[in-house]
Amino acid sequence: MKERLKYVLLLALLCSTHLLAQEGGDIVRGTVTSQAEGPLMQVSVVEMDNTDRIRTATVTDMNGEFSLKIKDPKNSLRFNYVGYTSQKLLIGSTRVFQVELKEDHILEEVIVKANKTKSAGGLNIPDREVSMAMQTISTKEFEGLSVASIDDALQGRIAGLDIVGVSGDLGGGMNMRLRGVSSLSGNTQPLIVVDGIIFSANVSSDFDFANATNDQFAELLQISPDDIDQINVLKDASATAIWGSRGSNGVLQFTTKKGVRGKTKVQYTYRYSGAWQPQGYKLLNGDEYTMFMKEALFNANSSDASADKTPLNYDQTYKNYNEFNDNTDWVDLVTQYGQTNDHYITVTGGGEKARFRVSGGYYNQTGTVIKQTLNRYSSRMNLDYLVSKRIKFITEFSFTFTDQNKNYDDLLNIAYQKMPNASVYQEDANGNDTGQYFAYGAAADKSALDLGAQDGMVNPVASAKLAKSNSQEYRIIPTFRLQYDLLDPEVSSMLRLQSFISFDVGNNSSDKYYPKALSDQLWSNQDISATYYEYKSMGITNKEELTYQPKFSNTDHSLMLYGAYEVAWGSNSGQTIASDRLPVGMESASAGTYLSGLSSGPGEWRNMGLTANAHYSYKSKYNADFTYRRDGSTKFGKSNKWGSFPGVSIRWNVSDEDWMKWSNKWLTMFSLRPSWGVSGKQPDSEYLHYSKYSSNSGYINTAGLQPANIRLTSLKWERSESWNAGSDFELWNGKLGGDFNYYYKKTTDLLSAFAIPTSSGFSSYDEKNSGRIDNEGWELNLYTNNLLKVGDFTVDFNFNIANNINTIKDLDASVLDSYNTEFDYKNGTYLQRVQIGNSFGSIYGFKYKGVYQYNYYSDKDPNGKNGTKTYQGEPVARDAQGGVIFDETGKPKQMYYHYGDANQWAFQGGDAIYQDINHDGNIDALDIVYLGNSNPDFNGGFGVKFKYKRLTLNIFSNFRYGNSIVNLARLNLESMRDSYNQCASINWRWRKEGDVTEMPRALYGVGYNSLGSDRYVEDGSFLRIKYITLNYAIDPKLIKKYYLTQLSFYFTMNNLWCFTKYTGVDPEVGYSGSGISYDSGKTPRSQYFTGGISVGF
Amino acid sequence: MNKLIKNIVLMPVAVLGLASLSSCSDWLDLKPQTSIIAEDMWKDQSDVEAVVASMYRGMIQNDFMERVMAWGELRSDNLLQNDSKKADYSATYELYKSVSMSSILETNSLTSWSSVYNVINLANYVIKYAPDVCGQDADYTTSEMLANVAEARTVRALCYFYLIRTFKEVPYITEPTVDDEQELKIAATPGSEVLSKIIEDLEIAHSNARTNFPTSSGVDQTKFRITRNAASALLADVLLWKASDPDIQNVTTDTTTYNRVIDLCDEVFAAADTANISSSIYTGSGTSTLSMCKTFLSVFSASSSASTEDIFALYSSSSTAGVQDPKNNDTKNNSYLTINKWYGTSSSNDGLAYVTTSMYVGQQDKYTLNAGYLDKQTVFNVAKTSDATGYNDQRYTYSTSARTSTGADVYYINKYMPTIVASSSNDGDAKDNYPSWIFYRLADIYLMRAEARIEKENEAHLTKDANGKIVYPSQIDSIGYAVNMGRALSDIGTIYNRSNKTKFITTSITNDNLSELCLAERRREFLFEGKRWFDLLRAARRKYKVSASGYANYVANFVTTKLSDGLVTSRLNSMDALYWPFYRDEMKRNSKLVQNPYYKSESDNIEKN
Repeated sequence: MKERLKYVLLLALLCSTHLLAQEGGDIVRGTVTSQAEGPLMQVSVVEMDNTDRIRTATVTDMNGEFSLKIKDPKNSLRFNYVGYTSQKLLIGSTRVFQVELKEDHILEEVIVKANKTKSAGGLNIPDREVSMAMQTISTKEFEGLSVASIDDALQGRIAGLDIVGVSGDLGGGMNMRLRGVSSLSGNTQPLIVVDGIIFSANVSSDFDFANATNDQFAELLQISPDDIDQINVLKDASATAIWGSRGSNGVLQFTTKKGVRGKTKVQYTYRYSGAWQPQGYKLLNGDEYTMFMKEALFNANSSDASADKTPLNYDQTYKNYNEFNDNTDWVDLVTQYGQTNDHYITVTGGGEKARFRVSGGYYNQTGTVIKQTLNRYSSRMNLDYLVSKRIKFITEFSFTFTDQNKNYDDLLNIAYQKMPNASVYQEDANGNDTGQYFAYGAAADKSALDLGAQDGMVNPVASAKLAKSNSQEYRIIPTFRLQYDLLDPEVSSMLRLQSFISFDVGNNSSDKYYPKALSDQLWSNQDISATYYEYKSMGITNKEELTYQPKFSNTDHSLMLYGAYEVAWGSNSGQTIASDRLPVGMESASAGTYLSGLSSGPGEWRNMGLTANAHYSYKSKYNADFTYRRDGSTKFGKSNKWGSFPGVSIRWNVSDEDWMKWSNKWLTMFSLRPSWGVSGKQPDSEYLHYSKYSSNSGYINTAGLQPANIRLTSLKWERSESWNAGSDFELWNGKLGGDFNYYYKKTTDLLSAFAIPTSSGFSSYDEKNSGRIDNEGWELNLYTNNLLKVGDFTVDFNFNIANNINTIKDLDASVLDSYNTEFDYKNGTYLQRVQIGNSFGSIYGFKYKGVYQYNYYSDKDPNGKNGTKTYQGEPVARDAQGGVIFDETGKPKQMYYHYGDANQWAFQGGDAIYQDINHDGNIDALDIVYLGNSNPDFNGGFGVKFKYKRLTLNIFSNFRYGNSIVNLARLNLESMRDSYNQCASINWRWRKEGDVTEMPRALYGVGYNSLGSDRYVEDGSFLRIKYITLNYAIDPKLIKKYYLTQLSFYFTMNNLWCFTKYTGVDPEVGYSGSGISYDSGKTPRSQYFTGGISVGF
Repeated sequence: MNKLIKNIVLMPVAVLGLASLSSCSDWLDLKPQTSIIAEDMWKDQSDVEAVVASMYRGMIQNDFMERVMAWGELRSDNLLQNDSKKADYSATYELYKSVSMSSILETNSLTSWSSVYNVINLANYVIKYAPDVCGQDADYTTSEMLANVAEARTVRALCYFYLIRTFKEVPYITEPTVDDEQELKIAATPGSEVLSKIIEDLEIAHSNARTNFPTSSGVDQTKFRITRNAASALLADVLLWKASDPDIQNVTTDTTTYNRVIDLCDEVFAAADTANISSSIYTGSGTSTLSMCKTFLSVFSASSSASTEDIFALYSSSSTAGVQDPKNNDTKNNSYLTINKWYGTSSSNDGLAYVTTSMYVGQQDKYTLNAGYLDKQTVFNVAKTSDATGYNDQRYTYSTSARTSTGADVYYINKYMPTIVASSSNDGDAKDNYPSWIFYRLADIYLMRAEARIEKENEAHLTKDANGKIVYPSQIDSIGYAVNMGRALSDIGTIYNRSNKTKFITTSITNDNLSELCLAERRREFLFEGKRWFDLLRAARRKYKVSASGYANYVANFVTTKLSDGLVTSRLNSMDALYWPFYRDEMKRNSKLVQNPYYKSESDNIEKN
């Protein structure tokens, strides 16, 4: 019995296992139909478990039939088909399904009012609970604008973010400053973050930001502006604290566009732009130039012989006569009408489980200076996949390839300087152009030339055509993210784990070549060379984030906690090959010729950070945020490796208070936001805390090792502490809104290179904490939302204005000394002075008072009129009352420039008058006074948007006010002291005794008529109508029959008009090392129009 | 499945998180790939040798060489700046000119001593860390270590010797600069104190230094590194300087010092083969390791080899590929480039420094041994390679090659390129010479011994008249005196005779002009070798020592022979003016430095934050 029972049990067990197995492996089948179409093909049939995770799946065939091997009969089957409502059926014991799907109701526009959230990188906080200073802008604002990089469009839009174009050259880049400069060395650009991942590259440590030119700032060129959805600018330290040591210059957070659920949509946009350069200076033509040069050469030592220069003589017996009798407009020759073709296509779609967006862009631009081209290929793919209700997998992939042809020389600048009587091409005996470029110096008889700066000056047209300067850049960033809700958010509190790993692969190369034909140097000269540079980098970032949002029974309280752990590491290496003495026709640096330079350098970096973030809100009336970041850096020694950056902010929504009820009708929202935070900065270089030994070529046959630096044991983090008092307000239900911020930022322990006594065997510490700079300012940002609405017509405005005052509070004397150079008494330079208590960017120089009318003093009015003399037109010393100072013999004292020195100069008629501040009859360093400052009092922008039905007109202007610019370009164009071509205004120069003019005489090589004076310090205030965009979207109903869902047209005028008193070409001038704006005649920003079309289907 | 995914997610998080948190400090230690860090340094002998090599390397750098030449030669009566090179050397021409005219400003970058302190710092590293290596590298013996340290001590002494002769007083630093917590602003130590430290160092080095070095890849390192002979030579030179100190008014002390100089010189001679010059300079073999060269001509060579006469010289070679125009010498640092820049190359015959005939005319009387013995016009008439009277001083053939520039006759300085290689000047490939720079050679030992003998006797026998004026003994009044003076004259004669067909004749001379004769012979022998200014300064110090007014215009009288500029006299009229100012940048960086009173200007008192 017992035995039998055993068998029965065993059998039962076997059966049951068999049954179980059978249950799991069962095949279900069925047909899916619809009333309208009968059997439905390609219907997705999915087996899902109770967490909505897909277990198995299939699709129906031509006859609407399917079969599926199921995992578990407890699961459900779901039937999905576009345009039909989906159905979900429990499998249970059913094995054959007859399903009829019902057509979806087509919904007319659903308005979903969800709480907008904002994030500084940690928690997503509801808009009205955000207590930090940040400003968000959607790229919809820039629709219809064609820009190479997004910073151009952003200019003037964010209060407190001062953006200045570096130059109008292609890929020129922008110089960005958020809330002033608070650092002495290294990068002052805000940190760029794309989708939560730091985009700003870890630049090699030897990169000199203060003197960086052009493309080095053009990092944003690697993101297609069309891929960006919105930009969130983090301003105060409580917001940037989350980014710790890299956020001290502020943070620009970009969010890219994501896939949208629904039918697959394709959108194609094409924009065409035509650009031209604004009117520049009018220059002398060849005839005027030779006239001026002869005068200048003669005046220098009153000798005909010195003015006898063959290229200026129009001497028919001279073999290059034909090449020096032209009227060449070099500027016209090197400029052109530039064009841009901007193609962009995007495919987006997805269902419940997955959403995707794929985009591709091709941007092709030719410059307003000849031979500049920019090609960019960009692609981005965002894919979200819901593994289950609680698990989400996201991948992002972006790729950019930029190919730029630049000019080897600064063509426009040369065109401004090049002698206009020289020809572009070599000419035959009859004056006809041959095909050969005319290189002054190479082709002409060298001994006949002696025209200073002209001697080695390249032919700019030839340089454009023959020299090569190409740079290419790849950047690939794949990212993988996983989001997992550890607790079911529908049932209990939210506990979410997010994790991503992102790779950043970059490769830059630059290829340059300068041919012999451009130079008057020997073939073996090092200038005639080819250089190839390559830089590759790889970075990996991994971040784990944990968010906890407990559910309270009392819903008045809400709390969010966030913790994150981030590690990033990477390496890079660069290599340069340079060679010269290249055979004609060989343009490659590696062609195996005379190798003049070969270098390589590897680099490595690591970062680690821990972040804690908490948000608490009571009835969303009282809100508080707390952030704490702890950053570890490889750049410091043991004791200072870790830096802590806390931030606290509070928001009080005053308008929510009961006692404010009276105002609720018009004051929709009013809040106060105080905040405090600390952010930090680490030095640019690695390995500073080591005592390093580097190798050298040694002595005799022994290789040498020598200490390369002083170990920086006491180096600390640069620390910026900032206070922000802000307020947000909305009136009339959001019709008018805005925010105001006042901030005070104190940066201490400034990192700076530091000169030390050379008796130590070294000349400097690489970095040292050496001072304090304060920035104080305010920002106001206003916007409207359907402010005026009359029928279909709406008008909206936006306006922002900001002010920043920068003060050097403390700076080590040796650092100050490195800025404060000795006055060199030379033409064309300004004394640099940085003082404690003042800001960077102060300009000092002489006061210009016009031109001495006469050579000699006479107490009688030369015009024969009696009475007192009114003019002071002779170069004599005068006392404070304006009376002439006489010597003991009754002769008037001569006016001198740095008297008593080997270079002393007695002023004569036609020379510049500089104000003799101390009335000592001698113009010297003691007569230098403060002339202005390059920091603007205000900067900002405003726009107005008109909308009528489907037609939108958007006008935006930006402005800067109260800054001074040193117009070096004009200084050089009016200096008349070298052989550079000059501005036509010098035709008004002093030529003979008694001339009344503001323009000194022409004087070659001598004299002091172009000293750094207020003559060239100009008010750089401007108001620029940056763009006017007209946008018309055609009614979708009209185009539906062509299978189009969207069709719109744009027309934009950029840089249309600039209101300014500035006499230079473009008042938008960046800052140089010590904060002064020098306009040295860079390519101005072009004016352009854009026409565009966007089609969706 | 659910669990699996959970595990997949959590595993790496946990692993990464835990692993990196526990060891995050280690993970944040990133070591450089292109350099060695201190923790990995000073482990074996090769580390010491490598830093020693860097020390010498520091000396052949252009910056260092330029100072050796500017401080030692350019300010003297031997050189002028070459105006025709103004355009080529626009960056440095003015600096050279102001030194040559003795109008040195504190802004003149030639007053910067950073390249010298760089070498001092390297020497300090060796002195401090080499002993540590001894314990770690079993093959590195104590005597080897002591020899390395002796090299470093000697090089450090040489550097400080240059500094105190130039600036009078400088910060004396013996600790290597390693860490930013060290105090770097250090006040200047008086020259006499620095000098006694130098002497201490050299006495130690003298007993520990090697006598010779092995030949390495065909280069005899004995000539190019510090040996015991080099330490002796330097010590002798240092002691001569010490004895000239105007602040030490003690005949006995000075006599001891001079005796030590003579001993040191004798010690060098003992190590040398001097047989060949005892009878006639033309018959010697001149092939011994250390011996006088047969002819003056063979002392200098255009290639990077040493002569038998050299005691310590800097090795130069075109070690890096691609020869450059010395004009653009910033990319390569090698002493020969500086020499080429100053004195010209075979392809471009003229350099920045120049000589004119007028510099040497009319100054002969001071050096005349006796009337008619030397042709007054030919002694320094560098133009003449040979003259009718047959008094042909070989040494001047190497500073000739006349040409006429605008106005006066100017001459190329060809000392370091005995053969002028004809070359097309426009091929862009300058044919440089690679001469070694000689600090000490055997001829120096002869003349130092002579100087010590003369001055010892002079000092011991000086008297003053009623007016306080110095009276030199007119007669040889003691046997010792006669013997010493006779020996000194013989030493000078040895040097003179080598380069002159007509032999040196000793007749009765006063001790007064025997000093001057020694000085003159040093000038003839070491022309353009970076010694003249210090020789003049040493002589001036001795004049000052016996009478504060005696030195007045002493140096100026020499220097004005090259210039008609009366300002020069006034610029050299005080003892302080003979030293250089501290560099302005250095003054700014080191608040503890006090400027030489001669160079203090009104504007220094203006506060510029």
